[in-house]
Amino acid sequence: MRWVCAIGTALLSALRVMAHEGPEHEIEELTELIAKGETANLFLQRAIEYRVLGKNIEAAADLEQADRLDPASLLIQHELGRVYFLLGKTNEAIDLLSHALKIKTEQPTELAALRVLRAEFLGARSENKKALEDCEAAIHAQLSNVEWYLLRSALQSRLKQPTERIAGLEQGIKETGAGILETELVEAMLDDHQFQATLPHIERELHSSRIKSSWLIRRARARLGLGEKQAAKADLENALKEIATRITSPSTDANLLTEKAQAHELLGEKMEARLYYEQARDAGAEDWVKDKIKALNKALKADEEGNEKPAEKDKK
Amino acid sequence: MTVSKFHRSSVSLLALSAAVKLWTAISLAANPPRPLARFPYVQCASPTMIHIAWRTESPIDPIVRFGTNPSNLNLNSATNAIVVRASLGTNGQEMLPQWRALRTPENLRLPKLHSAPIGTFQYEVRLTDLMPDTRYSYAVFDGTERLTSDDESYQFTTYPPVGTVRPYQFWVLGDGGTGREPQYAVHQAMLDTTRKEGRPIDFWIYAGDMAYGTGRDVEFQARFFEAYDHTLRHKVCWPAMGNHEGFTSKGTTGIGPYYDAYIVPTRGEVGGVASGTEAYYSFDYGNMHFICLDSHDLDRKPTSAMAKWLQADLDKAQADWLIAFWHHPPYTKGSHDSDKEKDLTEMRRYIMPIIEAGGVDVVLTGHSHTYERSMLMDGAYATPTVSESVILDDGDGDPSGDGPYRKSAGIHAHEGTVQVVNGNAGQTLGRTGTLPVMKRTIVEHGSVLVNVNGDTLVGRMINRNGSQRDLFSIVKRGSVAVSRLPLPWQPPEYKKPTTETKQKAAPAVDHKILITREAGWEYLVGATTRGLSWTRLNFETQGWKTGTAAFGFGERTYKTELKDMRRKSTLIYLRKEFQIEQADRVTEMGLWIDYEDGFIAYINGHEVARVGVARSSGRNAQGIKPRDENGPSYIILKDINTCLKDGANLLAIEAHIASGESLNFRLDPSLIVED
Repeated sequence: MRWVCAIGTALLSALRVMAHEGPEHEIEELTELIAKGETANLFLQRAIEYRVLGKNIEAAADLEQADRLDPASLLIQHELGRVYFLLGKTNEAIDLLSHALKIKTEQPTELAALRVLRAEFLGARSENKKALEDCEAAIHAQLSNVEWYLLRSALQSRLKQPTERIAGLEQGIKETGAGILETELVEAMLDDHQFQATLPHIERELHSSRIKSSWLIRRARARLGLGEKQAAKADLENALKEIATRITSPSTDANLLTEKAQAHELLGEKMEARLYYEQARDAGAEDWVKDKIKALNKALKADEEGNEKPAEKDKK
Repeated sequence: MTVSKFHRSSVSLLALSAAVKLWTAISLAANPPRPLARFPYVQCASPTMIHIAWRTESPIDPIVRFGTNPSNLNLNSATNAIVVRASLGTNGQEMLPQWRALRTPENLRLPKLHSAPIGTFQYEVRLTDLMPDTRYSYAVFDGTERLTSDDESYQFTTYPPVGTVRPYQFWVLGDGGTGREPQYAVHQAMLDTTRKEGRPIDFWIYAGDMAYGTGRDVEFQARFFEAYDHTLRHKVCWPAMGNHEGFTSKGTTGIGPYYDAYIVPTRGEVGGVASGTEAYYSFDYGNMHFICLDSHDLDRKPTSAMAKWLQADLDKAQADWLIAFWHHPPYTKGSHDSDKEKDLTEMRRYIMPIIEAGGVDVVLTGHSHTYERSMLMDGAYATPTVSESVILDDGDGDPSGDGPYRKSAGIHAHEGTVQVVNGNAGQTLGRTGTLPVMKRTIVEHGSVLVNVNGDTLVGRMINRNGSQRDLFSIVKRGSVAVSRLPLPWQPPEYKKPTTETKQKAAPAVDHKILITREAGWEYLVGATTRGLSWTRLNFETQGWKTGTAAFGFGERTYKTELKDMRRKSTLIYLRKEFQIEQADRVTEMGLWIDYEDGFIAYINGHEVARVGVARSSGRNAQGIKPRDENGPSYIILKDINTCLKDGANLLAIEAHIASGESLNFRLDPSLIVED
């Protein structure tokens, strides 16, 4: 891979093998080296150190310098795209990557990572269809990346493509064997209302898991879909009991908070569900949590209005 | 002198420096004999399976013969259980005819080795259907020809059945792959300790940075495979990728020398949930479950594939002990600061809540070049890290001190984790402060031995001299009520020394001298030469003299006295040819050089070192700084991979005196290559 080689060469140019005392020290050393002679690789290295320290403005400035000195480097464009996005410059990031994707390389896989990055940025701008095209192209170039299958699944979920989503995850499982893709497949089947079909898988997972809450919630979803309300309620209560033994107060565990919110939501406890979805969002949960919060706000508002109306009628 | 990777140096640098004398105490690993380019080493083992990998310089007919009786290796590896990778260069690349001949259609279809020297073939053999907990001997053959010696070190023991409870011991280290003396000392200290105690390790964990400076293939070979050769032959090293390997290997693609070097489970072959990637994985050993994460270049957020996999793996984990390891420490004030650096704060903020809700007992990391060990702690996810209400036991964890840390039997969320930062296995040490959750901060080279015996875990830091510098224990028994200490013990504040002595660079332990001291050089003094053509091989040296190093004038005496130079010239040019057999196998090259005041060095016309000369070169050189110190220094040459070539090469040096009035001048160079 050319960009892998590029990184190797980058550090060889300085060969700071024996001195490594934190990013500030690295930046000092690199600044000295840059003063002696500017190279794209030195700017790239310093940008990486700036990013470690959260100094994205400085990182972007260095990457722009690096890009000026080596405009054919896919690695530099990749890093600069990421930093632009972190700085909220999504348009610039997408433009940059679109330009980078036109660079000719011997291996199409070199561009796959860039495509996925652009897919993420397009997805953040709700351009899901374009994002999906990028993601598909990247997976086609490299079949073994678990993260990319997950991104494609999320995009297909947003685009309401259940059949393609399920097929795509089955492909990912075949190519990688990753356990989390199997979990995502169950989620996709539940979203597609294939409740009965998911139950054998869920039962297997429940049997083999030490921590069962996430699978209890999935079984509750299936059972609710099949009209087994009491059994679902029992699953959700058991899930909440188990979560209570694992969650701290306050909690910053986005996954546990999401599970807790889901359980409350499925129990019809909208206020609690909204509270924990909000906490999950603040802890860095997935984007769909924000949609849940919106939906719950709407539902709670409707409930309030519904309660007010009979009271008004009584007054009259 | 010819450089051959497979010809171990017998030349010592003893004469050069007193510090180097220490090296005689170290027994160096021998380079593999031809055709082996890398000794066989064991990887990815389970109760019934193990992988054996090795490299050769050309294709062979690979067979592993093995058996429980060392004198009767009656079993053969299956031909369909062999993966072959090759480094064959690229189309149009300049290469020797013997390498070009290897670019057959059949060979070109093989998976690629990334950045390995051209002509390298890597064989990865999977042995299956083995008996658990059984010692096997093995040998590598090319058809009927045995390539490995009849040596007891070529053996392995399959893992015990999952769940087996009995004493285990494993070795943990990080940031050791420098090729320098501390790396060898730390390894030797582990070997001496385990030999003395009569308890060898069962396997080892490397928390990253095993191949400085950029994780190139040649750095892996010299600073990992040759440095730990004997241990690698029979004990599996489970790796985590460090930031230095991350310069040439990528977790997102699973491509690079790091991924070429190791075989790790991706489909849950050794327990745990299938990760589908070599970047993160898990494995079982007896009653322990281990989780390895890539903290370097993958998304660390809870929405990431890695975090989701971690959650799924912990959901399934049933072992008595859960141990996680990765490179970037969530808590440190060593050479890195976890209150400032994003990689570290993200591991704390996003990954630690999953780890602790999953009931992990110990977290092992590197990156920070020191030893730090926490009290029993839980829930410290905020920045900056404080100790109030996150410490569950503020004792030292030592059974002969404050007593071991106590947790309930089994696996329980939030009953406490011990954090061990051990990035002290070779790299230059450093400390920025004191983290309030740490019980021990020891700025010494060393590594950690962990013993697990039923419900008790003991961790010991063994320093480079073999001394035990820390001991902590965790006992998981009965039911323990967790309480958070509002005002726990705090370590004393660290006061940074007012004067810091800068550690001098040293050559790699396993080295060879290409140009010796007292070598003959061509030199030119009292005249200038235009441009840089004099730094290239084919330059006509008419009017140049020959002389023996050292060169100089002043208080000392020199082999080549340059008294005439005083007050007349401030510049001398030197040239010396040297030979390299295969340039792409060179890991590092450096000058061991005593000089006054500054110099610029070139190889084949490329500037590779500049010391004490600020700008320009030759008679236009500016900003020449008087050198204050005496004695030789080791200067690593940069960009050698781009300027060295197979066969004859030229080292050229222009040495400068800071002032025409200087009373002294000296230049005493030798050229060293990491072997």
